[in-house]
Amino acid sequence: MPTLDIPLFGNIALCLVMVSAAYTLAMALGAGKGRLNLLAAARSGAFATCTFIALAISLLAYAFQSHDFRIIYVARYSDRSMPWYYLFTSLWGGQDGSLLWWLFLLSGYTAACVRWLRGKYVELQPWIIATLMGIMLFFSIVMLFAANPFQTYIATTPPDGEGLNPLLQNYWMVIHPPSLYMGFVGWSVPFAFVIAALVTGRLDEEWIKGARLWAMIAWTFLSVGLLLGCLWSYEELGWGGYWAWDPVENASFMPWLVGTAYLHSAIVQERYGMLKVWNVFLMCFTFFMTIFGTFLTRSGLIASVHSFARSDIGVYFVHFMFLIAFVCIALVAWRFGRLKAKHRIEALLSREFMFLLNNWVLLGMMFFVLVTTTWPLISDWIRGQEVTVGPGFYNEWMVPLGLILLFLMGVGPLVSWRKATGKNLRRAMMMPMALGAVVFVIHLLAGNSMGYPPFRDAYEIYQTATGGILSYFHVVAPITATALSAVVFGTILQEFIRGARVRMRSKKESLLSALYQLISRARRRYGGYIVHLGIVVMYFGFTGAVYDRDAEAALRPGETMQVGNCTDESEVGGACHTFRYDAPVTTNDPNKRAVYGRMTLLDEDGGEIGQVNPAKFIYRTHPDMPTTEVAIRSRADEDLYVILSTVDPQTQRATFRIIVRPFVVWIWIGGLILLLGSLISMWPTARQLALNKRRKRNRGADTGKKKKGPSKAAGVAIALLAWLLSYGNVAEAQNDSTSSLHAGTVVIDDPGERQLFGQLLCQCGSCARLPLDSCSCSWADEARAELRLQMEAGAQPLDLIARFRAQHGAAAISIPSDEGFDRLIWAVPIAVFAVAAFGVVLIGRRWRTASPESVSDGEDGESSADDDDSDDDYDDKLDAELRRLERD
Amino acid sequence: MRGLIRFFDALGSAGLLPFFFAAAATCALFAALFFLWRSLRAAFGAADSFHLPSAEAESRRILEERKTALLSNLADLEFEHAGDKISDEDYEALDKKLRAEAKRVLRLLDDDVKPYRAKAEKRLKNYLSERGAPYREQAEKPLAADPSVEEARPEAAEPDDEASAEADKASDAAEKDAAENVCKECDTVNDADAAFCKKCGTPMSEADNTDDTDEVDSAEEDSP
Repeated sequence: MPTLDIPLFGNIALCLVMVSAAYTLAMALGAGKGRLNLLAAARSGAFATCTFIALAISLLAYAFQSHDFRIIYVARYSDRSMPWYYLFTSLWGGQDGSLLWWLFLLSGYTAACVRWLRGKYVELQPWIIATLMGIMLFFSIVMLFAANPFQTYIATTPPDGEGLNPLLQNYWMVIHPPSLYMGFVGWSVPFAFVIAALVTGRLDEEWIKGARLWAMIAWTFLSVGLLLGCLWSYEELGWGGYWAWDPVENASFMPWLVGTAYLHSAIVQERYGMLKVWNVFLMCFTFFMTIFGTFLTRSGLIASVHSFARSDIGVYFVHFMFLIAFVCIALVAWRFGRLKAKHRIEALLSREFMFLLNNWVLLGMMFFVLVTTTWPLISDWIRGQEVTVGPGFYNEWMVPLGLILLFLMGVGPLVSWRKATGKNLRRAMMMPMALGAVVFVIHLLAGNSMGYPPFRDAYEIYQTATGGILSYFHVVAPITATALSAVVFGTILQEFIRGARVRMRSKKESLLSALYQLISRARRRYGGYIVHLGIVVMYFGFTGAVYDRDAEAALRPGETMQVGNCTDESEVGGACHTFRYDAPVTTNDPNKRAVYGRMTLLDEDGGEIGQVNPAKFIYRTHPDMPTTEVAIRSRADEDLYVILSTVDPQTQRATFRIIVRPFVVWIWIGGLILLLGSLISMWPTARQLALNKRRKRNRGADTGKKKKGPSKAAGVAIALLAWLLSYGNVAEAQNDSTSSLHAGTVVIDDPGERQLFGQLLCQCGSCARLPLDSCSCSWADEARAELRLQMEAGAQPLDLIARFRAQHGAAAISIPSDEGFDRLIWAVPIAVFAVAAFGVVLIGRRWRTASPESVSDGEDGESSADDDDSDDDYDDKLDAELRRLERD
Repeated sequence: MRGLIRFFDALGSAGLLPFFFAAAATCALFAALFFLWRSLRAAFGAADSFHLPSAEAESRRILEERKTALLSNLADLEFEHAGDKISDEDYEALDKKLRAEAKRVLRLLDDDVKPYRAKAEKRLKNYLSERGAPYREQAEKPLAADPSVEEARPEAAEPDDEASAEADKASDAAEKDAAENVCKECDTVNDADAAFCKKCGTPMSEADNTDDTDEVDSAEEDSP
């Protein structure tokens, strides 16, 4: 049917992208070298490159919509029965297309940034454009030579495509990858700023200010993308969880951690001109981690549930990473002299130092995840032995680090800038600490009776001292998390109350107007606090995972099953829930056949509360890959997560697994609060808006052209996010649209079994990295049965693990042992963490002692002669300036 | 957004989506060629030239940034003191230190504009004497650190002087000019005859610098 030679046009478009990016790079370098007339050429060239990319993506979209199966990518990821929206999402459904999609998003950022830069940052501009073009050039080369989405079949054209993987045929695939990519790609712009600052040597606060909005946009998208990823995992993968420490998840979590550290320490530089080297490093590192994450995901080096197939683009990424690292290190070394801080901190007990501590924990977490994620590679590389690190390992180790971060979040905002006084700090901590203590006591006393016990059963992942210490954390984690969450909540509350009170006193405002004024006048600060609030609410949701309960039953129509706190001796869980299985219902559409297991949720007296419809979808193109669609009923206190494991159309008998997951909904609510907070802190101030308006008026009179100011950029970001969210809300309201990789029947009777199975990996060969507690293949079934028999015979879990390891090798255990070389997996990060802690304190001390008197004292001497007569004048002027600042 | 989805739905069901994307591709191609042409024209011919700011403007920018940071630090300190986060002694010590530093920066900013002020006063004197109006010397006051018009305007002449009307007109014109000679990109106040903004290098529009030279001269009093 297609008559246009789309493959040829597509290849030409990709070539044009490459040529145009190279040309623009040359122009930008020329402009950077002082030939400023080339800057206009570079700016237009950047727009040209972006539109060439738009051309390429439009051609690919056209190929999908017109079923041009000459193109391998189109044939592999679509078929004729797919509706238009999945044909559209197929654009990023596979490796080659998603790289083009990546480039397309980068072109969007680049065009917005170049437009925004008009008339600003003239010195930095050439280098910003050059950096962005360099990145584009790299991606266009990868696409042309290694992952060309327009590649055609050499011989015959298939009559129909293979269809998109059923797992990817849901609306989460419509919104999750674009949002995450927006977060990933977005860091390119602030990275371009830092490279420009390094090259030009303009390393004061200028680049931080320029990059701020872009870093915020990228961070927000990355956060939302991560959360949508959790939501996708929770609703689509059907194994009952939202985060499995999968390498691909980690790949996006690591840049988030570094980016978060950057956003905090950038404030210190903006305010006090300190931490210059550190900020440059953090920004470079964040960008590096986005590329590293892409490399991890794309190269197929590390087995993961949803990584792309192993491919040869890895080597390109390795070269690119070396290039980035080399350029960054060389530039920092060259400019090191200019990166020295002009100012010193006054005291160790100050907000500046708290930010340093926050950076320490965030980077510590990042380093831990980094080492652990790459451990299989490191182990294979150094000693030729494959190992696997499963979620159990991360959960045990990351909980203590996460709690430290939570603690800092509670204390940090209470410490004043420059210098905190012990007495005042103690007074400030009184309320949050009291709140924390009250919650602690309530949880301790009433937790058991409410079904949320304050302590967990001891559980040692190792039989060593380390195992004992970890086990201790494991036991106290629930109550510590709730108490610390209360402390952070108290801190945030107190910050708002105190701020409002100051305004009410000095400006005679009512409480509401004081609060409104407070937030609108210091958006960044209070927006930040709201983000903190979102994080605390999310922590609360994460803590709920401790109290999960599940049940499994095979039912005939009319039979019921119970889940939750249904027996007197059970310790955890909220209410008891009764489900009645009604009947299987089958529906057909051109794309798939769906079998629903209709269930009714009953109340205690047998009255009907509502229906749940978990299902199995059998896609026409993938009949051997039925997907499990879970049904979720969300409430504030718990989610009911219903999985249809098997259904027999003849006998109508069906197996269900129901998981009760307390507080999960708070994770998504926390995400919304986080989004609100970051929008508040991104929103331009009245002053900026007035400035933009004036500019626009000037230009309107001048040329009639419009311009995209920061407010516009923020507006666009907000609109995009709102769109993503509106999608999310639609999806959440709908309960029955999911697919599963892990789905199937996994019967686990008690927590001991769950912990044991969680440490052993399925060895069937096709379910990579799935532990026995969630793998549903027959091999796993048999393995579980055998292990159960051995446990009944009195075997200890640790012996069973050792036996399993001896039988199937070290790679069959999800938690590497705590001996020999394997010990390094935690010892290295912990050692680095400890050394870094020492370093942080040392740096703080040196800063303080190096120049106890601030710079001003020394330099003031020169002009002190005429101080006395004009001092009063200047005092008045300073006051006038301060009043003006307050007015703005 | 729903409307957009419905629009695409309609397109999809009518089988028009391929044409939609084909049209998008065509538009993108033309846009890209247009930008490429503009870029090549800029590289090899008529280009809007960009200029780097002078060293003085650069040092002034750094001072301005420093001033902004110090002012917000002072405001923060005030706020934290009001919120009882910092003790009175520490507050006083830090406040004194920050104020001293802020005053130093303000003074440096003023020193920066001194030569311009002298020049402007001379020109104003010439202008007024040409028109027969006496110029009264002003005791030098520190100029505003911020290049805002109101604070930097010297008074021109006696109100009952016969030339006062003209002088007022002149100062009004000066005010108007100065207000108009704000860079539209970065809002920096530029010399009235500036062809390009001294901060960001954007060309100043024709309208701003083709005024009567005399008036332009008198406007310089406001230009840092």
